[in-house]
Amino acid sequence: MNIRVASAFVALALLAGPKITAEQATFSSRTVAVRVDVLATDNGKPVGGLTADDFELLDDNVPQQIEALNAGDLPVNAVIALDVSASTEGQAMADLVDAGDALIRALKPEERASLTTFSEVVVPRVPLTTDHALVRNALSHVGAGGLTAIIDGVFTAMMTAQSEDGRPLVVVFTDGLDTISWMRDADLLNATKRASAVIYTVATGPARQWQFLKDLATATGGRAIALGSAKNLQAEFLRILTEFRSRYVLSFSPKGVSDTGYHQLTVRSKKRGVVVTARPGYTAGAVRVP
Amino acid sequence: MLLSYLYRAGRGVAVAAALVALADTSVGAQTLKNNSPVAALQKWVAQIDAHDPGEMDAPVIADAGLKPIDRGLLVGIAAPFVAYLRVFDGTNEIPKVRLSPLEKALVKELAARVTGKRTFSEWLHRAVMFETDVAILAPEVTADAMRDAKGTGLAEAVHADDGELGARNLLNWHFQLARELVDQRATAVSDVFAASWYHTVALYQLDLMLLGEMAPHLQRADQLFPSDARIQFDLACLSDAMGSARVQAVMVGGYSGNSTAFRPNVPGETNAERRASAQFAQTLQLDSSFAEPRVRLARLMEKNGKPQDALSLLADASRLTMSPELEYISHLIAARASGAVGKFAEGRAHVKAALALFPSAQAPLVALTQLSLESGDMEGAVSAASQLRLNPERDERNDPWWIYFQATWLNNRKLLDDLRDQVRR
Repeated sequence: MNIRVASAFVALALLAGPKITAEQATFSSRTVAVRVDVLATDNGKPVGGLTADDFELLDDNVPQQIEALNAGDLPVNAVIALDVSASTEGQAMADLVDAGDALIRALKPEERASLTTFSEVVVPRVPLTTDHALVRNALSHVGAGGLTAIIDGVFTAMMTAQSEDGRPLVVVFTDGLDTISWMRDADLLNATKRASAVIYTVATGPARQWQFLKDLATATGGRAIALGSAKNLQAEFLRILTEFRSRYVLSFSPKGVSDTGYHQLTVRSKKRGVVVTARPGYTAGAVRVP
Repeated sequence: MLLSYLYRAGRGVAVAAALVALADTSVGAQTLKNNSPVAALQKWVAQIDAHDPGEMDAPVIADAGLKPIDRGLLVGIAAPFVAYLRVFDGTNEIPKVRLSPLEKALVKELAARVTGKRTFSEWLHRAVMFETDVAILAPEVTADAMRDAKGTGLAEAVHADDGELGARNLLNWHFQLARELVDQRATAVSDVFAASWYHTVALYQLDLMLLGEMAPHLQRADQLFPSDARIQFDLACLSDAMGSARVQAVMVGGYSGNSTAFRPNVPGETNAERRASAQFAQTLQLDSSFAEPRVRLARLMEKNGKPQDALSLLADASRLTMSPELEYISHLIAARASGAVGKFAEGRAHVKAALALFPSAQAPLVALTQLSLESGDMEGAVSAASQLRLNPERDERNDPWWIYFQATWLNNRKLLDDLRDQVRR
């Protein structure tokens, strides 16, 4: 049975706890369900055909009942977030456009695509749409220049991915390090705990050394990929989509745990040799007043 | 004597040009070649005289294009020349200099000529602004001319972009010479021009993120003007910029894999910010009516887990005079700090105020998205993020946050023009 989860983690906001101000309560609502996007692999290869019974899920160490498992039957909301700072000018930009274009073409008609570019300027160019031609057209008009606001760019892309029902996927490409964002790396890592998007980061150049990209991927249950150049980007983007489609979405209604704050998630497979990758936790409710 | 004759004949560019031209046919030319230190000095003095402050004119190009060997000649003789200027100014005994009798006579004559036209201070300030213009207006010419000067003992700066190390350049020796000229003033400490010059050039270097240039510049300024709030503020801005993502990225990305000889002299983020905080606080002790250090200190406090203290500083700052850019930054920091203490409505009000000042800015929309998300309002967050799509194209966006560490709004160009006006008179 499919559980419809209203725009991802919106549903996670809670009734005000003892330390929450009245103002925060305005934005609270009941926890309906939590969705966890997981990747099950055996020797690095995705494992198909698993059922809810093959997984064990703990919320703050409290075992939870998996109410639904979706395997590839939820449409993908794919947001491509591209670094278009000055360093991507030339061949790298051509490779970027080709890779993005290939990913969009590989989407099913009912799946949505969106494009966000960032230099110091973050531009959510096209909202999530099934009009793939529109996104491809926007992609073909992208130019390079400026500094790099990766954190603001990924944050914006993540919010775009949450804007429609579906499975939010953010594919980020960068060749540099953040030099100008308003948000800080810790801010974005915190924000990922309130969203359900899975983020895959693809890095070339100095960005390959950047621990933050690995932390970001880990925090969302995604993967960080380091490449020597943008030359093989197209193949990498397609691999990401294939891998994402092989994942499972587990849904559960938290029971026996707090309504607010950070929840640690543990997802394991009961099948021997199967390794599960998932986000390590989520935050429910408004921020508590210190 | 050649110099005496010319001194009587006239002044300015014509004099200097004649000096060089006549040198080949005079008796003195046997020892005074075009490539002698005195000839280098004569050319330089003529260039200073002929230069129109702020203009990229022939004297600027000529001085900027000096090769390492010519630079050596000039720098070597500039010191005895200035010592003689001080003799004519009455502030120095006749110096003991290692020059030939002919050179000594020529230098002395040149000094007499210069001080006959302007006071020592006036000439010195003019020379300082000439060297400043050379450093500012023609840095590429200097870099090109000094390309083969490695190993001359001049310090290097590393250029980095997006964490990627690019070129290595020698520090621009014209800034250094300008500093040495300013310092020649015996009463530099009480010299209003000198303090303003150090501050103005520091702001210019900050604006272009020439932090490698800025460090030795401010080190000297701090020795001369430890009680000048502007200099302490500049020092704090340098530390603040060192802690910025743009600079720290060098240590994360570009430095990795390079040889240790390539290591940029960059403190870690925590150390840089700690130093900046102390220096901003010191600035406020020297001048409590200075709004900008208050706002900048507040940003560091908020970043380092003291949002309540930051809000208190920002409230104080709001009662002082602020530029629109500073007020905008102040609202952004207040929005973040308000969010950190759970005051989301106040945070949103600050975002609104920031947007009112700079409607096409990006950071307030990012801040609003973040505030909404933190307050549990996913729909509000998605909506705020989507507003970025409505922002104008890149060239039309105006976000002071992007130039925060350069402090461009402090208008170093205007301050430079003011200094130029002073030497024009």
